Amino acid sequence: MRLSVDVGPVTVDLRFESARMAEMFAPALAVRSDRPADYVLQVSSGETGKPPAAIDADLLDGEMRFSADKDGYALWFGRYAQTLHTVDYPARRAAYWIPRADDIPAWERTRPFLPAFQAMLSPTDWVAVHAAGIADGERGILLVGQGKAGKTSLALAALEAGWRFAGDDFVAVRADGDPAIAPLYATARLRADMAGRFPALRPAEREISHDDGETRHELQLRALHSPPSITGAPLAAVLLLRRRGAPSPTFSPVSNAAVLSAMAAATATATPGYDAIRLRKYLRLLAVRPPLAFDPGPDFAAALAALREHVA
Amino acid sequence: MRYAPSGPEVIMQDFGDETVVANLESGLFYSLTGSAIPLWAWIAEGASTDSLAERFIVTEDVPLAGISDAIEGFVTQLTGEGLIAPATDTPAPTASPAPIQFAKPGIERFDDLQGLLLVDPIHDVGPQGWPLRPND
Repeated sequence: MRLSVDVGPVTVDLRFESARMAEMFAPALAVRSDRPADYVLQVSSGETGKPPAAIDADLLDGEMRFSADKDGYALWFGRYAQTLHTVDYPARRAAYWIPRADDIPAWERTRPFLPAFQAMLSPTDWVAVHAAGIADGERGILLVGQGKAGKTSLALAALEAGWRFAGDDFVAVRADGDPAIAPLYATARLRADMAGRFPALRPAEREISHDDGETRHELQLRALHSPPSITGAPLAAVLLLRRRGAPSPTFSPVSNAAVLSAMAAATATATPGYDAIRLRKYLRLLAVRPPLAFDPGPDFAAALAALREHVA
Repeated sequence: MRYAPSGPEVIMQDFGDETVVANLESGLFYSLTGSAIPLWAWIAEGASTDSLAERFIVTEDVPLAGISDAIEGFVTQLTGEGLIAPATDTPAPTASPAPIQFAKPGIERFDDLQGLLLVDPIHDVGPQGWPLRPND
């Protein structure tokens, strides 16, 4: 099965080895494309063939390894998260391989091929960022924050309110003088304690996962009766989500270093490689969109109203 | 004594009211404020740290000794964090700038990545895979 998707400015022709792999990953991908492909990404598992030549027995049981240069990218996540991601820039070919499809964890199914996508974006002005992205019409907002900062909750509240949704976990960002956000995935991972706050999203629920010691409701947003607007927008604001118990939505100054640290940390562990290139894109982004801290307060509607006013 | 950024892994960006210094190897980010901003710039361009206090306006409230102590503490912090290292071949700047007001050098460290490295794919995951810890 084949599927063409956009990853920011890059179009990827996904070629799934089996219908099962396609069913597993295709619903998560946000932007179907009819543009000519920039890369072909072969998606396969060890169940129907030999491992790629680069994978030997020592590597299978070994630690994480990667190499990243101007010619190519290769990441083996190691024995505990056995996935291989490769990108060959001159050949415009990429590969994703896992020994057993049954072993693919929920977080991988929710944001598939992320390291390869990040590598494909590396030669462009775009970068994948650990953040949520929402937009009120043409005014996009990047919501940065550590895990449990409330990115998913606020992004889903925006989605329910009819805003554009560009992602709750990783989004693509164009980091030039005219920044923009674009979705990578049509998924969300909602913490169990927040699931009751979004009854309208119940039809999107596909499974309950227990990654990272926490129960999450895995949502496939395309499954909603009225699928949301999963799309990007010009980027108007970068906000660091900080819940400090404010009674109402509050904006406050924040250091660029705090925002960079929050952006870079999870991105670096999820998409190792090209650190300096990635960081320079973040720096460019913050130079044109100085960040603020945002405490959304206890009420989503009030938080969204404050955000709308902020970017108006 | 002259110093220089300790290597290509140290990346900096001047945002005007803040200089961000990042160490790509450690994943640590630093926010420099106040007189830490010009101090970092002067140190990075090769100025001797012995001469830096003279670049600030000395007043009764801000005596030279206090400025010197603050600079010494700042340089000690930078070296302790591994952001600068002694340099012998860095050329000294040719002209001294006009003295400027002194403000306490501020340096704040952000270490989000350090927390994540405790649960990273390399060091500390359970058999079910990252990001699960062994006991999850």
